Amino acid sequence: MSRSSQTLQSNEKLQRNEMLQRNEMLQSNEMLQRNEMLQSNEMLQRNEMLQRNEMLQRNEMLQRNVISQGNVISQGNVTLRDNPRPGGSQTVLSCLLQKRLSLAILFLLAIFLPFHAPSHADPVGAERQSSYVLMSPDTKAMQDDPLLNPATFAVLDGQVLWQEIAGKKNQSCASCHGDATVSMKGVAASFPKLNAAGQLLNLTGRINQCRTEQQSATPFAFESKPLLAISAFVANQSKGMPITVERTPANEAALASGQRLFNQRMGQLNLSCAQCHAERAGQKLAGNPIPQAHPTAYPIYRLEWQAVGSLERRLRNCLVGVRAEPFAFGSTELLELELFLAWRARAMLLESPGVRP
Amino acid sequence: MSKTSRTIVTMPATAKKGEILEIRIIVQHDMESGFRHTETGQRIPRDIIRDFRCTYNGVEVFRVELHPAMGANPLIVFTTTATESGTLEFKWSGDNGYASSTTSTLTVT
Repeated sequence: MSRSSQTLQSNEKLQRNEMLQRNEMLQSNEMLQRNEMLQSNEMLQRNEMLQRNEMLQRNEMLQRNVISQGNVISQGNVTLRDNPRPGGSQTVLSCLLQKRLSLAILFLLAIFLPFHAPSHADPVGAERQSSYVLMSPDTKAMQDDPLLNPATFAVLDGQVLWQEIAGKKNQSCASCHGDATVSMKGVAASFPKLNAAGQLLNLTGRINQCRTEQQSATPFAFESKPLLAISAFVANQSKGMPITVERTPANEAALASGQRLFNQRMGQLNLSCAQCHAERAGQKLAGNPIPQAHPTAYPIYRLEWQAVGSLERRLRNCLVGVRAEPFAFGSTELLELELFLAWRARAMLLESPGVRP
Repeated sequence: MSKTSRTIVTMPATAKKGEILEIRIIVQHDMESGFRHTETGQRIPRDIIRDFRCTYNGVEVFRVELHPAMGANPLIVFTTTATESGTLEFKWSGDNGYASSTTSTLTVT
């Protein structure tokens, strides 16, 4: 009796053990499957993100991918620990194996899957568009109606300054240039250009050259209200006219360096102007449409600035955005970039003074 | 900051009696909130327009109190009913003795 009961008991034990083991196996299988599922889900999501995340170059993405794979697996472990089961050591071992295996698979995937961000060419000809078309109807209305456009105040201030006598020579802009509506027609559309001394100047630079040489007055400070006002007034005379900057033997070198700067990666984010404004123009950055960066509306009233500002200020904004040290106002780099941008937007119509968000 | 500045008023010159007029006014002003600092850390003192009033033949028809959260060059759009021909006077006043005013004439038929 006692023996048979012992045998029975041991049988029971064996069966129970067997069941436990089977359970363990099932559970660990289940866990493996779940783990796999989690990882494959994560992989899918990551792949999607990579394809969407076109701002980063492929190498950077791969590095990030490897790092985030680590995160995925540690998340998997956390999920397992939340559901304690028998046979922990086995599970941990299989998890570790799984981790290695999945790491290897993800790494291979990262290398071999075609993660190419679609790279488009810089829009040319009729494909080019002013960032005006990307704006909201409200902002468009603000620019279109001079009675609503806050930059109108700058234009009106500029009109007054045009007549104002300044400097030791007691000259105003009007003393030489006369009626701006005639003499300044199309002038802003031809800048930046080289002066007689072979120096590259943008419109504000030219205004300050006039001030120092023709008026013997102190030049206006960069981004100062009077300088922006006169440039807004002068630029407004070219409203609706095509940009006339062309490649010439004289500006060729500066244009080439401008183009090089446009395509050069800069800053901690290691991005070039072209990566956003040429290759990904029309797509979104943080929910906002990326414009093609044609300087057709400068000086602009930018709602973010709550003021009128120059193209140089805007370029410096972008440089800060990619965590690069911005080029100084009036620096050769900014002028060359401006020249390249104007040439890139040649024949597009000026809409100064524009309103931009 | 100048004690006065440019203003633009957009409204119809004529209206029928009883007609509702839309009046758009925009004024040139930096609306310095008083919460900003210079690069050297000094606080930029507040300098804003505090008050806008519109009188229609001497009777106040519209008034706005402006506060630091208003953007630069504040645009105000409001309506009033055309009752009689006459003058609408728009007055802005604010910090540091700021004052601007302008008038528009309205013919009611």
